[in-house]
Amino acid sequence: MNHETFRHLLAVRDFLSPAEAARLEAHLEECAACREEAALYARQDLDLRSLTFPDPPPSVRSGVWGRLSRPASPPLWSPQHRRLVLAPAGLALLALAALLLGRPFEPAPSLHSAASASHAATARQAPLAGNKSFGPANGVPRGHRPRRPVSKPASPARRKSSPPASQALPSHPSPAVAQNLPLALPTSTPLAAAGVAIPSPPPARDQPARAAPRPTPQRAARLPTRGAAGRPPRPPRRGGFHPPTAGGPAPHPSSTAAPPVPTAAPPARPMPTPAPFVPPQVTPAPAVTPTPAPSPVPYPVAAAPQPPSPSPPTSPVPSPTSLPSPSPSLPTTPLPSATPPPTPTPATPGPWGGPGPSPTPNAGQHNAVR
Amino acid sequence: MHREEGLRTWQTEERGEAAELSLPDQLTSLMDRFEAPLYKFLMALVGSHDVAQDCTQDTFMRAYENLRKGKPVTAAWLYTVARNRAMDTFRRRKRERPDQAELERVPTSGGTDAVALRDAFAHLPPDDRTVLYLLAVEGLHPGEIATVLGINANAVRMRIFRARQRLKLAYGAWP
Repeated sequence: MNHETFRHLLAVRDFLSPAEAARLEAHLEECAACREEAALYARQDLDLRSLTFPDPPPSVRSGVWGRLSRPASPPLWSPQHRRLVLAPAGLALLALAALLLGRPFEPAPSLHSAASASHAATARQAPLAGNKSFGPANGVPRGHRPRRPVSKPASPARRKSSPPASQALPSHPSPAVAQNLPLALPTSTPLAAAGVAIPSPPPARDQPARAAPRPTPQRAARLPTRGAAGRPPRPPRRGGFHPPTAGGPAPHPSSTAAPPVPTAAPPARPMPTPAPFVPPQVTPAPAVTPTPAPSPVPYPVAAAPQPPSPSPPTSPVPSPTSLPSPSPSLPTTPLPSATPPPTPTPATPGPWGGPGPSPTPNAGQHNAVR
Repeated sequence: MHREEGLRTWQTEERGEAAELSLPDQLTSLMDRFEAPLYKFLMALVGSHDVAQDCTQDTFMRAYENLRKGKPVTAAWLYTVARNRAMDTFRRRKRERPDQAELERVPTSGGTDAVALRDAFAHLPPDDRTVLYLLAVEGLHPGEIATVLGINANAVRMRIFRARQRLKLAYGAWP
């Protein structure tokens, strides 16, 4: 133990252990400097104790009791304060989250068209051998059902548009079908040529893919009525309507009941680009006339109206892009072929989306026509 | 040392008796024992009556919370809380020296040397004032002083040694 260590022990001489105290005492007997420093430290302690400080006034204790008697506010970290502060904040956050999440998805038209285009492109790439590739009518992958926008801009042009009569009906749904867009082209031309009432695409197809309601008997019963009211009857959505096959589109079951109201598009017009599909503008006059003309000729028809027969179209339907393969529920053969389309299976989804075509009373009739 | 023993015994005997009392009675017993020492300690540290009063009240409020929660309240803990409150006051005021004007109003038992000693003591750093007051005036053990300062026993010995040397230099009266 060196001299400096003994000096440190002198500073706390009254609080040393017995062993340390003995060693320090032995050193002090030998070191005069340390003895002087020990005396200095003793005088410092005495002088410091002489520093008298005033006693606390009574206000100190009374202030303590006064603060204890006051209702204390909970500290910020207390559970009570947390409940008071965080609960409303949490509720506000929950409300905000609910407001943001609860807002229906309304994609912009441009976005929707772009998305539809992408979906249509995807659908076109895969052969239409099964429902997987075809999937919903709008081309949206199965399971994905973007919500229908609130507004339903069922443009008159779309509703009344129809493909040119000269265009061959595709044996498979057009890309427009994949986009759940009005399928005026494949539905109108052969039937219009045949003088059969061509149901205009349902207005619902103008919107993004939405689960179309299953055609109920009541709904099916109502469908012809709509046509009788002056508008072309709406075909059943789920499996009830199929694009025309090579033999020509099957006449709508309600077409026999209602006079033909051709809504064919101008002839020899190429099929619009599926992405986005813009049906050709068609004058809707014949479609809205209350008394349908016996032989309305809004479009030049190459041949006289003929009974529906599986006659091949004069020219193939020009399509800018390859069309997806039809689903099993749709005719799988090209137009010139007269092979009847396969009967739609319940498990296969309809061309217009949804879980699958519900049994329609006229499905077989459609197939038979071809 | 009587005072030292008094402070220590409260932890073992008197506190055990006080534990059987109600909370207000326990607080009363605590204040009876430590109100004056704490207040004087704070006066030596901050040199202001108002600050010393507020810090003393805050210290006992914290002590009451500890008693209510069943936590121990020791002398070292009280001085720690009081010192921390004083340091917070220093930081708010951006000053680490006691109010000289108020210190001059504090009576001393000695003569001129006492005044010089008081002035020298007031010019020491806060930690030096803490260790010297607790060691020389309150008689706390260096281990307890280490607890108050938050340092170990060896460091507190060095702190005390340096504080004494600085006081010697500041006072100048001692040979």
